[in-house]
Amino acid sequence: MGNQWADIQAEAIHSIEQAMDVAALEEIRVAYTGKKGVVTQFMKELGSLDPEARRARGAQINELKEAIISALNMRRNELEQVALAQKLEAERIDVTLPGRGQSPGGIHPVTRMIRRVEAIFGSMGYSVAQGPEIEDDWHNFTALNIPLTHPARAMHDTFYFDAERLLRTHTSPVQIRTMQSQTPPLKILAPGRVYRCDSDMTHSPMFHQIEVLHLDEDVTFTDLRATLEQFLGALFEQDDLPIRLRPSFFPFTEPSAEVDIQCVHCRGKGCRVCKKTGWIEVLGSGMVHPNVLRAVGLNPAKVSGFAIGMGVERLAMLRYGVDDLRSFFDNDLRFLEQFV
Amino acid sequence: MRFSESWLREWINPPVDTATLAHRLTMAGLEVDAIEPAAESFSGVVVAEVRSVEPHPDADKLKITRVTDGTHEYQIVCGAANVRVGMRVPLATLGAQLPGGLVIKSAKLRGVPSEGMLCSASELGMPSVVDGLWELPSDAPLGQSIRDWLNLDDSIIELGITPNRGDALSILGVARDCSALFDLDITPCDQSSVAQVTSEAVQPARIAVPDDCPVYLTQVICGVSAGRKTPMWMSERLRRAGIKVIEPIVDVCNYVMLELGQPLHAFDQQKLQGGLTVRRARPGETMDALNQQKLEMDADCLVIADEAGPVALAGIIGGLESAVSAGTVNIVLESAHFTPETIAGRARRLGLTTDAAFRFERGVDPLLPARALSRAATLIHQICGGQVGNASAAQGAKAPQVPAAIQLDMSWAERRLGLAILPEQARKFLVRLGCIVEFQSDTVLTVTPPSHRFDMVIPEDLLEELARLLGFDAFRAPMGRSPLTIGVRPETENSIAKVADFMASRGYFEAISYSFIDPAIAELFTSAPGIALANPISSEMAVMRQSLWPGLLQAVAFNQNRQQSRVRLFEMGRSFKGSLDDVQEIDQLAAVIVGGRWPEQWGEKSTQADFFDLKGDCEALLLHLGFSLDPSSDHANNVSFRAAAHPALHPGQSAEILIYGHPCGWLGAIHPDIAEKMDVNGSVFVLELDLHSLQYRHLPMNKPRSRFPQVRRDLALLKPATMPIAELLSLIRNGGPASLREVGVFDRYVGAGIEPGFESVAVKLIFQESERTLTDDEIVGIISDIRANLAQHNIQLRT
Repeated sequence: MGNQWADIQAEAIHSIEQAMDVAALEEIRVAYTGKKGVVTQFMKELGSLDPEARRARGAQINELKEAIISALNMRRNELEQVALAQKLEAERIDVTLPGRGQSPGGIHPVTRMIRRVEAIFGSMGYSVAQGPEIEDDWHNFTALNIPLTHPARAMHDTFYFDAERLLRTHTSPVQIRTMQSQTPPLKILAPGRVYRCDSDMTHSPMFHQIEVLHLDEDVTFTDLRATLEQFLGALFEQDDLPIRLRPSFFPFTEPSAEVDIQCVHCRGKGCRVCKKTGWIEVLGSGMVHPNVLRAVGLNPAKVSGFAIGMGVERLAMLRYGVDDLRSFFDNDLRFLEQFV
Repeated sequence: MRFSESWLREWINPPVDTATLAHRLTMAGLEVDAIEPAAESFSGVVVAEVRSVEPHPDADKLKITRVTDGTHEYQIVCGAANVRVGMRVPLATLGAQLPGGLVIKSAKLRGVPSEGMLCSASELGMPSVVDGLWELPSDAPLGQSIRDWLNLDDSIIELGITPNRGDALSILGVARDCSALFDLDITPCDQSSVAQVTSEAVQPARIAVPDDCPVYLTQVICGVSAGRKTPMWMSERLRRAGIKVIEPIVDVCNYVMLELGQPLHAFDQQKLQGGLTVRRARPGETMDALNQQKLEMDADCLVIADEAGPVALAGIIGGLESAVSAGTVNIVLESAHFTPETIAGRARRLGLTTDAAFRFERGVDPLLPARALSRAATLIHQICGGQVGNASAAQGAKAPQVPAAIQLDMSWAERRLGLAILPEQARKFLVRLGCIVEFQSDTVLTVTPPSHRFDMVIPEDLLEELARLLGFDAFRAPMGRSPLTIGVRPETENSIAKVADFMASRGYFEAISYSFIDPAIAELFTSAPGIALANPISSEMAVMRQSLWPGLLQAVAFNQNRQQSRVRLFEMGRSFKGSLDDVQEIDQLAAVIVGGRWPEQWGEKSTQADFFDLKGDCEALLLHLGFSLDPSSDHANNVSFRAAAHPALHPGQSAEILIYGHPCGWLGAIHPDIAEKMDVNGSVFVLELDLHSLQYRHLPMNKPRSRFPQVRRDLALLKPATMPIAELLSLIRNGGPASLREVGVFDRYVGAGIEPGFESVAVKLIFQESERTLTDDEIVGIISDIRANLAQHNIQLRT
């Protein structure tokens, strides 16, 4: 009988090892341990044996059953591993295919530059002010100490609607409006569109400026210089960026200065961008003219301040390497796509 | 203004090189725009005289000449037509290098040896008036290098003078700034000799308008030489200043203007009829000007008139009739002061730009006329001979206005500049600039500006002078006290940047289009007339835009024409509504989409974007900004859409956007007629939102959550096709109990099995009570009530 047990076990294990899928395995399980299975039959026959023989036979049957179940489990595990591996292999994808439905969008370089200037002056305590683009003569010229005979007031340079109303030629009238509506101390910057009757390679009839105004008791020319150094160093991300102030003339400031930075392309060595001078003019500035303060009812003996005016396109051209002013207003996607 | 550096150095000679001089001038406010050499580089060219001219045996056009440099004689073969015996010409000797690098070697021309080359002016890079050889004056020194003789190793300095510095538009003016910058005295070169008066002749003159012209001086010079020639030194200085050499008397006038800054004029005395009057033009008076232009003048123009009419437009241009020409024998020199207000803008209005007007507009020293007149008379006498009469002042002259004294408190100056300047240093600078300075106290100066400085009126003007002479580089200090202010915006404020960034993240590019557009295009979008410019740059840019859509559609057309079929753009800018007397400048966001729903790719079927793509982006933006699309929320941030007509939009695909019931924008498909007129292809969808309406949202506020389960019921409903979904949802919502938390559409169907004129809509309803669990019976009751309510509006359950 001992051989019989061993044969049954060997046969069962052999067929388990031969089973190629979970279904075949299940058939084997039923054939041996199912209700009508071989092992179950043996169990049923136990009842006819005497207690001594029953105990011995029972132990043998259990041993056989455990061996078969263990083999079944092991084989099932193996088969599941293989099946999972096959399933995973079948689910393999090309991960280098692009993601679904993505296309970039972007912020216009002029807006980028305005934001950057706002962020820098914002960190120095300045807040953004706005004013109308359709201005009147008084805010755009008279209050800014620009005399009636000034060439800017001629039809050649300014877009007029009628004798009084015009498209603002600079953001400086926002200075006037802010000084009228708020009292010093004032720290504002006013970005926006401005308009001049001029259109060629280097002039656009519409462009953007940012006006900066700081007004308080005893704001000095030295404060202006320090602010410019901080601002321009931060803008061009160069702490020690050399700047130079050249005396100039604007009707609304006295003293007035044009401000150059060391050429950011050649670091002052002289190149095409700086026309071999090593310097690039970036903005205009000066101490607010007492006539401007008087025009808005402020007392020049009590308050003083500085104003800075910059052309956004000019700064954007320098920083982003744009060499044609007109690119800013073509709205050519191939241009805009670079500013993601 | 351009001038010869050596001319300036004759007046004042700072001990620095050209580059340093230019830098110092720039940093003092006289910006050097350019430095150029006075002549191109060449060498080995000397003054020579032609001794003989013989024909060339083998060439008709060549001549064999013998020339001398005073010590040697050379045989030169020459092709110039104007070569003749006795003329002095530039000789490029063997080894000479000409502009462009040509080196002169001994050569044979058609078999005849030639030991150099006779030069034309253009061969030496000089302006030429005649073809052929450059004929030098008979006193040109034989054998001397042309460069040395004409001082060609000189620089031309070009200054960009700001409009406030009319005083610097002369050698004398630049010298004054140098005097202060370098603390040096000026050599007044005009005052070395003065012509003797040998004639009684005077020109009668009268000033009718002394406020416009307080000073009018004339001087008569009779019998000037007929063969007069402008000397080389003068024509060279004029050339380097960019002024054309015309005729000796005119040249002298120009020379003195460059030297001293006083514009002068010369009349041919024999062409004048009677006395001169300085007066306003009479309406309709005309004059032929020197530039051949016929000027029509009005009472705003100041003229010099003789008894027959205007002979000059004062301070701007002379008349052709009375102009000095080569045949002029007797001249009347004019040297006058015209106030800036009288001249400003007139030249421009008449389409003229003249050196005289340029200076008078900016202000010429009112005390200068006598000095300039004397200088001109002396030079004319030197160059042209003649008998010089006395300078005489016109009747009616008055004392010109001169600058008033200014109090300068140096402690105030320090508070404005942020830097202390010693009063003595300030005095020194101001005196060098020509001011009269007195100490009022230790720190207060009384400063009387010189008559040539029209820009020194208030103490701030003096600050500028001190600051620029010290150099703006001196004003260095650490960042001053900067009060700490909180610049943080309210939490409920939506920044413009947040809107823009969101649009960019959804795949839109920001565009910037012009604020003014073609009125013919504007009227496609609105019937309201746009605010029109009086002087547009072109008809395409003539009215202010009332919508951002035209600009965006133009950008779409631009890109479609460049093989871009999928375009998504947005713009943030102003539209201008209302009338000129009631302008509303409205900050708006506008967006446009056209082309594929997705960029071309492998993963999705290629379909064209439609209304709901743009609406989806619009909704996503509004959600991102904190607005609610749930119409049941009664916050002020609740957004809804309703069908409404817009002239630019497809009548069936056009929605008005409302925030809490207030219209704040539009969304829709561009009307095909407009798409055609705007030259855009495909179905184009546009969005417009007033940014002002988006600026504030509510502060998020926590509400207690229900602990009890929610229940979902789906209903398949048949509604009339004409009824908007929003209305259906609103009926359900309004007819439902408080426990109805959410209503939404998840499917819709039209077609087979559905009665025509109806639409099947699948709606989900979500119920929840906050204090207990809803029972099935309750739900059945609620659904039954909702169905009954819907039935009243012709909406049935689909069976």
